[in-house]
Amino acid sequence: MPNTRSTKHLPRSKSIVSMLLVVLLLTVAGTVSAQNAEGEQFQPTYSLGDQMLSLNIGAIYPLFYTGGPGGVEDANLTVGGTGHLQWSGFLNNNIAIGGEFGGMFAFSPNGNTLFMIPLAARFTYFLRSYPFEFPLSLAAGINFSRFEESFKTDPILIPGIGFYWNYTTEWAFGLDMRWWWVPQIYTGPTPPSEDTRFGNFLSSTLSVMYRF
Amino acid sequence: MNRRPQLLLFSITIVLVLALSGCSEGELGIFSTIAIEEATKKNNLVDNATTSGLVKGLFNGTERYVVKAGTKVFTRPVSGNDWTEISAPGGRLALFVAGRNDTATPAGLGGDEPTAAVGEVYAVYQSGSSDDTAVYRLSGNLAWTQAVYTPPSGTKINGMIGVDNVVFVSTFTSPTDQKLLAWSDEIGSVPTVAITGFNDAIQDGVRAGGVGSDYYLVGKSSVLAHVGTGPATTATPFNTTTTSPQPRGIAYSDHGGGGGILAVADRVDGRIFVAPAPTTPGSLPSSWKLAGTVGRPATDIIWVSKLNGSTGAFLVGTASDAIFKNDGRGYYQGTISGTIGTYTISLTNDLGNNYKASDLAVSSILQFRHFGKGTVFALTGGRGLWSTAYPDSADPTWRWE
Repeated sequence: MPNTRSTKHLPRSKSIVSMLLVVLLLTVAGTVSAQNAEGEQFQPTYSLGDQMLSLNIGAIYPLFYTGGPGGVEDANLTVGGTGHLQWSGFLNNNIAIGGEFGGMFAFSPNGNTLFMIPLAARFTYFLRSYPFEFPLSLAAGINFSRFEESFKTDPILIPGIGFYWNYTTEWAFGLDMRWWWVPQIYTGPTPPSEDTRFGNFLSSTLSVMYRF
Repeated sequence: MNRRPQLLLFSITIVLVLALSGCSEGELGIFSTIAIEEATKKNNLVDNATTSGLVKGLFNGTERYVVKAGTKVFTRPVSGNDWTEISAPGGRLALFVAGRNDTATPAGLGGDEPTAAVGEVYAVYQSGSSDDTAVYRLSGNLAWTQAVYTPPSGTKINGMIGVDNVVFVSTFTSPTDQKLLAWSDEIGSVPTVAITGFNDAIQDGVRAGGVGSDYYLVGKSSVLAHVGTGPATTATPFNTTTTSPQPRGIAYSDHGGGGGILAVADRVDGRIFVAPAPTTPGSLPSSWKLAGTVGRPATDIIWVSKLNGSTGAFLVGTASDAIFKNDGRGYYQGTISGTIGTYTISLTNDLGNNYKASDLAVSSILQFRHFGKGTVFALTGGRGLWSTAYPDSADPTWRWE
């Protein structure tokens, strides 16, 4: 259940614009909601002790590798699938910290599958314009990669930006765009240090977020 | 604070990581390998089968390859890409395939490791319901007919290879009663010759191109046999100067002139031993020297005379270093230098992007076959059959048959 949560009334003009955007979103999503339509307009705020869970599913676009002797190299993978589950606790209305784990897969030209599983701590800063919010996040942690018989543990950085619409004070739906930066460093002799690469991937996911 | 979400995340992650981490970093970087991967051209032979006994034969005027894949036998025209299954006799399971030339002195095979260019193709089939084995010959219309040679009752065949115009069969009735037969003529009588002292399962053989053009054969438990063109036959322990060798492949190279050299690939640490090929008919090579090592079990070795700008090079197949371990490392190419007594072989598996990014590079290669003009086949454990027209100096482009 929501913890300490307060409300405040919005100016009428802002409320009208917001309502129009809400209607537009509902139309696009095919979802009908009368959320707060007849009641008072309020903007939820979150504070220390509130928590959130979110589930993301979508596509990942392998972009390129850097760090090799040939400079920038194409990632040479198909568009893949990705998803992640994250938990965070609010420190105040704009900042949350937590953790996440996820996964991705994509296929090489010969149909071999690259799997990556990042496990990361996550910092999120929320820009809010009720009923929308724009979380800016940075996740940092470790990434487990597997390709055929090879396995590697690397660091990972995942900066991202999201766009969410608050359906209720608990539920929000949105879109996340995140950049996966995976420095895959080898020190030799096997694999050789020349095989060090910095992987770059872009994920685009639909998200459902629950606050409690 | 409710800790269930954190525990859930942590638990799922641990399970997934453990599931993924059952393997090593491998020999090459993951991203760097993916970056250079090229789509492998494929034919229609089953990809995930263990292949063995590839031979080339002439059938109703058409040259064809024949290979055992799993427990079935397949064929395709040399000039085509379409593999078709050859129906097994009575639904039996194929154990071995081998072939022989039908000419006593085949020309043009030089220092290659020749298999049947034209001639007869045989297969050993086992009944699915019993242990009995029988030898069949492939007719011109690609049908199996039982061969004249029949193993004595109670005898099982545990190896069959063809080298030039001779088929060699190793048989056993018990672990202590194994023998190798040279079986050289299907037409008319079958002059099988027991090779005294070769109480082992045959692994590989080669015909040396030097004086005498004799056959040299290796057995699984360290036996070396010489089979003369007479045929006079002898077999002795292989290379008694080193500890417990387990020879798996033998190759002949005309490198260095004279009688050329013989090279043996050893399962133990992938050691490559070389010795001058005898120049006197009827003698066995001696003075084996360690010339190189690949650091993991070697499975076969061939000499390809076209490589390195026509200087030639050895190809050495490797297997996993443990049973049930699926971490094959493909093959190595070896360049020989020095002279008799001081030969060294420099081995590398840095063989180009096509190879390094292919499944062949992570396969166990059980056998090589070389049909001249640089056409090389790699027969793998569980990853099918691969072929390439080996170029003079550029890196090879492998096709997954």
